[in-house]
Amino acid sequence: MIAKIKKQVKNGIAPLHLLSSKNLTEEKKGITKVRASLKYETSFLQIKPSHRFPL
Amino acid sequence: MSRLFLRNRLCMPVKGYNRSIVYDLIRYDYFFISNEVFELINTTEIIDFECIGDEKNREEIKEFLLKEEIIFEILESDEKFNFPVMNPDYSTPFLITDLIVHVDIDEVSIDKLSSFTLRDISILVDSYDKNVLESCLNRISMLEVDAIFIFLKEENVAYTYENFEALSRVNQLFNIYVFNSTYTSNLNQENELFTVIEIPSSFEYFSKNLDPNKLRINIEMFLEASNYHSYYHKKVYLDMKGNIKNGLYTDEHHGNLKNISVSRFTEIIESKSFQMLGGIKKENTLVCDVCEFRFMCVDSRMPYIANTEKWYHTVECTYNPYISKWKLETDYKPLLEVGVALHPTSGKLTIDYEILEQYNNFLWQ
Ligand code: SF4
Repeated sequence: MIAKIKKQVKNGIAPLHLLSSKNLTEEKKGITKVRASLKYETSFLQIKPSHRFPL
Repeated sequence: MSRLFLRNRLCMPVKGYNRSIVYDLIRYDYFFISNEVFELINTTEIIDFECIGDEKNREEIKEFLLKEEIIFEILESDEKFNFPVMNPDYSTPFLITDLIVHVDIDEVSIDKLSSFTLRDISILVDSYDKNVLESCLNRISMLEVDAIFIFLKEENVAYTYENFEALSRVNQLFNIYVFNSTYTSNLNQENELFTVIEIPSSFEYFSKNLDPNKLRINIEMFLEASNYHSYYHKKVYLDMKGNIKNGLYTDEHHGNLKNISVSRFTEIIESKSFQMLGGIKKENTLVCDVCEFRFMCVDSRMPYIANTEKWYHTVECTYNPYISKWKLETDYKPLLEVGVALHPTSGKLTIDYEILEQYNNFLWQ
């Protein structure tokens, strides 16, 4: 499941809210791994947790 | 027989005053193009390259668009029906997508928020206190929220990884923003579960002004910004006292979360008066309506309307779309200096085309 979502998010097609804590509580370790891959800075090409700037 | 080309359905051209941008929505990328190329590819039909008279120019444009996969070739014209056009509507199941709170938000308010599914929560921290921040974050992370962001407003602080180590237990924490401050960590970046972003300005300046760091390109952002106000739509700010506001810098408040029930809070955020600002489109806003960045920017300025059909701002954006320059670039000039006058009370816009053209010729020719 995690690997699949991770791949989909990388390809930009998985809705990011699939990664919310409630959906994946049993796979806590997995979440950590997914989240590490989703870290972003200020580049256009990286995955963002939100579709828009949150502030 | 001439070759047939279609535009990639997820590459959207957006026209500005001077130039246009192709938003590559699936790859989170963008390309500047001329307004002439915009006219050429702003169609869902087969692209008519023959309208470019100059052959060398035509081949160069074609090559660029093909290389960047903005267009692709089909063999027969009927194949275009295999590529349906994107539905331009936008809807989201979230009642609130972005919630902004202060670090000292009370337990009762957090309890009330637990009835909602939230996309993002931003926590504002006036002055950093490890224990206060940790306890707030722990309580907030129990909400149904996808991502949490922390904004540490205090300036001239040297933060280290040790300051934030305990926070990494919270899965939803994505970014910590620090302002005019530094951050050092001995940890390999890959092992940090959040990213600390050092912003070289004050929180106030950063939150009030548009910054290229706030631009986002993706399908959801594009559709939301085309249909709604990309800052105010589905945003709720709870100020220090618990007042419910549309954004960080709006004066009006719509009640106080501390004194009302969850159902009353829901009624408020679903009410017409609360949702009014969220419904303003860039297309109906002066200056922004000719800006090529309009479907990727998040603009916190308060819009006003007078006797005109369009909304306007009393404070100028850090981007001037009439000359295609950001304030931080050399040769930037504010609107008035390039012949664009926005009357601060009537909201009327007048353009002295001679002055504007002269400056654009100086800049771009
Ligand atoms: S002028 Fe500024 S706020 Fe308006 S659309 Fe352009 S970048 Fe956004």
